[in-house]
Amino acid sequence: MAWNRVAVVGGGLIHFGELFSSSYEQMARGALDAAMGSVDSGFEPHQIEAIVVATQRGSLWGQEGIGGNTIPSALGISGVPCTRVENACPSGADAFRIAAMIVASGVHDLVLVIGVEKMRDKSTEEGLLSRAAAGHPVYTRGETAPVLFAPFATRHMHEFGTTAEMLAAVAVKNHHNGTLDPYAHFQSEITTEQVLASPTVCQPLRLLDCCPQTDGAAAIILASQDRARSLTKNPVWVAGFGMGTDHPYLHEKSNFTSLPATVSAAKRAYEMAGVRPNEIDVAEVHDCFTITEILDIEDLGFYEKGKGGPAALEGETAISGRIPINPSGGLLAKGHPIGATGVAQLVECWWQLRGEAGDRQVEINNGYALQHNVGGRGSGVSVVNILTSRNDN
Amino acid sequence: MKSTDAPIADLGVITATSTPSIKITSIGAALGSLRLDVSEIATSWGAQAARTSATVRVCAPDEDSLTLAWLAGSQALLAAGYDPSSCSSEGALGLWWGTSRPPFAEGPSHSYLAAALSLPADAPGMLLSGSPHSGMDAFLTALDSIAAGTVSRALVVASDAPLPGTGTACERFTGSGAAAFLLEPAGDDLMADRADSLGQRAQTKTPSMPLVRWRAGASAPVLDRYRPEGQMMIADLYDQRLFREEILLPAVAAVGKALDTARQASEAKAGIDSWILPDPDGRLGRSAAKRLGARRALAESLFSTAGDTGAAACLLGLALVLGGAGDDIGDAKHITSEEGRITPESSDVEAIGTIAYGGGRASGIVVERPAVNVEQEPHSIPGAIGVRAAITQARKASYSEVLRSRDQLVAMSEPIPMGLPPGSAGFVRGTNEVLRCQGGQCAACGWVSIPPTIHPTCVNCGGTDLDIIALDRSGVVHTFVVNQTMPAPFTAPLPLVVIDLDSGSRIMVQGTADSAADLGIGQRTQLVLRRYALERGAPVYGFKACPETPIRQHPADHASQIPAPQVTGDDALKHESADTISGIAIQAVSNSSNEEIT
Repeated sequence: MAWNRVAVVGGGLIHFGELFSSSYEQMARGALDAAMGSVDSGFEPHQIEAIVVATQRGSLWGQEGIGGNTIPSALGISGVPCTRVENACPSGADAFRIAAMIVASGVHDLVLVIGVEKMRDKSTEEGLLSRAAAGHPVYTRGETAPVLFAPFATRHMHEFGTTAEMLAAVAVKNHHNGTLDPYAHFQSEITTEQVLASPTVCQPLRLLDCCPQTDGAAAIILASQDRARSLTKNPVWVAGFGMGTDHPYLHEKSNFTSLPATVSAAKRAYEMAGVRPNEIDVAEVHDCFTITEILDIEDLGFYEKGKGGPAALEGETAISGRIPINPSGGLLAKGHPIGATGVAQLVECWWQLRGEAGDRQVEINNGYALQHNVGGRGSGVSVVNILTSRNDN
Repeated sequence: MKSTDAPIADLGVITATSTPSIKITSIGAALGSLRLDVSEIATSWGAQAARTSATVRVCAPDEDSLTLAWLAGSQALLAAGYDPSSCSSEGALGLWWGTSRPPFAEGPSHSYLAAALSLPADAPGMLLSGSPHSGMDAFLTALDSIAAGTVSRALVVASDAPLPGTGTACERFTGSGAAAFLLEPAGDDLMADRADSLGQRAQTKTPSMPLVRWRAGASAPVLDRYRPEGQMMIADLYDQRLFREEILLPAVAAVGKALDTARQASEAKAGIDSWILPDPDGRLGRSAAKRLGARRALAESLFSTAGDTGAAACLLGLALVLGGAGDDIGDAKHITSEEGRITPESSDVEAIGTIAYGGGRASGIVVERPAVNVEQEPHSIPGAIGVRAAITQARKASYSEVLRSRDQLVAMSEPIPMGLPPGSAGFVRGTNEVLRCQGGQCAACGWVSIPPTIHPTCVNCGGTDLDIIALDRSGVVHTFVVNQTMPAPFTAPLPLVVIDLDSGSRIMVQGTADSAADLGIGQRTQLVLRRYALERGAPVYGFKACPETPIRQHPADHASQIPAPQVTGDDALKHESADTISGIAIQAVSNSSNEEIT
């Protein structure tokens, strides 16, 4: 493919959580500072040639809708081109994909990808959850976020014998990983018993099957190959990316055990990167709910359909397992500030490939890390990005 | 000079008139799905618990006068062989709806009901409102329209869900319900029935349907129970003794005597055999019966079970009696009046009078039907099974639950606006296709994309040639959730159900709250109209899933009694599973929502 190589030369995030004392703008600048501080040769804001900002819509009162206007000013580099990407839960991953294409095209050599989301400026009821009706005026009523995934759990359990304990194993693992991640929203262990005893949010999903509402921001600096050489001796490369879509309403699904958007996004990313699922060393996948991670690891090709639950229960997806999934704690423990989520996952992949993930460092054998988001109504949008530490890719 | 014995409102001599020969082809009935013990209301207000086993039937939060009207009307249409999933024009079928509580005080109430009943856009009819007399208004107006030749068939729906004042006496007697009748010219049936009544049984047995025979009415400018402009709740604004002695009983007696006299003067040479009478306080019905020379009225148990269902009351009683669901029918068969009237046992024809009262008006009709031995052969009329099911299926509710359901107990919190404004174009597009339960069928591959307005292309193949069709109303649960955590005004438990409809389409709708506890993959389910929300003050309707409760077709329930709807091919096949409408599920659910998180 005739495109220029693209490198990740810096990345960072702020401590995710309920950041009542921070504004949207303050969070953004915090993420930029973290990313700039990670660049081996140092970095100044004015070096940025263009910005792609990911903000879904969180709980703000309108200013998120003009992210392209707000962010350059907040970062102290007003005047720089800036485009806002809104693409449901994969907003951050898609912003990265688009920024990579900008660098690959040769139009810009240094592009900032920044994801920023304020989820807690409104009460929980008024925030994301209040959109229990969207799109069609009648057909989507009552469809809060858990409703978009819980029917898959019901059906996955019915068809494959997936159990509540298997779902709980995902939450227990990711909360454990969260204790090893200083940026995670939740930093405490939980037990299977606690998960199973937690209140039902949306049958069959319980409270601890669900990710929290989190404020956060994350940033990544992408560079062309030449610029990357001058900024770091240890670049990580964009090996491939892919995006897929599917119908937006749940009743349009042909089945409730797989997310077709993920399958097609992964296929495109694997083909572009020239890798197979078994060559991936570590994956940061979309675990907004426990069932989602089980669907993901099947749809991404790590496990056969129906085998994701037992794999989670057997510990195969732990940091030391066969395929480590969500060493950062995932959305379940690290949090899910929507626009920032995908960018933060890519920061984790970057750290893992550079061997900088500390206590949660996984073993890197092939030099590939995969990042994945899926979301939207009916999980109809998915993005997969694959990074590599291999200079021969 | 007026006698001091005469009632204040002197009604003079009321004369009944014979109606054109119109038969009742099928019936339907519905009651609010919550059952409240009347004694609980009394104790809640600090009164001594009344020694009563009476109950009232109240709407669940997603039910109202419209959804009850739809349920009863659907039953009557289905029982008569009208296929709701057929978009073919029925021609001359009209809808007459009487209720004191249309969902919009001013607004598209009638057109919503007509659309939800899948009536064609040119179906005539009207909404009658203004008092609990409205149900009878609808019935009589439909008779007139058939007589005038405006329509060849009329669906009459009387429904109501009055809102009683909290703590008032009438709160203990106020229920909610609906009755529906499909009417059409009697034609040759009349001749057969009259021959029967004269002992000259016809050679060929023609289906013998109830016939409407006489009508009478009276009005007086008396102020009784009323609701001023801008008020939601009714209250007992009259003196109960005054109402009883000077208003209700004289009016009912005058109309009843007129009807009785008319029948005496006919070839039947007999009076009315039994009565269904208004009973707004649990005692007046029996008193009115005595004035008419009967020991008691039929369908008394309706009032002690459901309460006074306002505009629906007396027609609901008639539907129950015609459907064999008045549990006191057997007793009434043996009533012999003091005046030595011909009892039903001595005649082939039974005359049933029903009188509605409301707003200073009393009107009655007489229905004749073939007398049968109820022990050997229950009264059979299409829709009878659904009518009988309506009165028995309910879920016991607490007084506080009823108050919440009636919006009389409201949490002190600011509701969060959501969705589109009901006046927006998106809402208008969405409402029509939801009420009519429409999908877009691909001409190329046959796939049905639901709903049409958001699917310019086929979900399956991308084809652009889509035909609007009406969806099946029954199917099997493919997957589901029970949402326990939502912002107000949503209330838990709220099932959301993905259904594989019998025609092969897949749809996702809310489930009724009462169905939550027993939902399961593979379960047979059906779609019923419910009120999804009050959005910025306007009701939002949609279909919900509830377990299928088959209303088995009675042997007498066959579609040949009316001209078959113009259905062809697949539509005709769909009808086989169509006779299953019932909105009532009975599972109690207790579950609390919790701190939510996503």
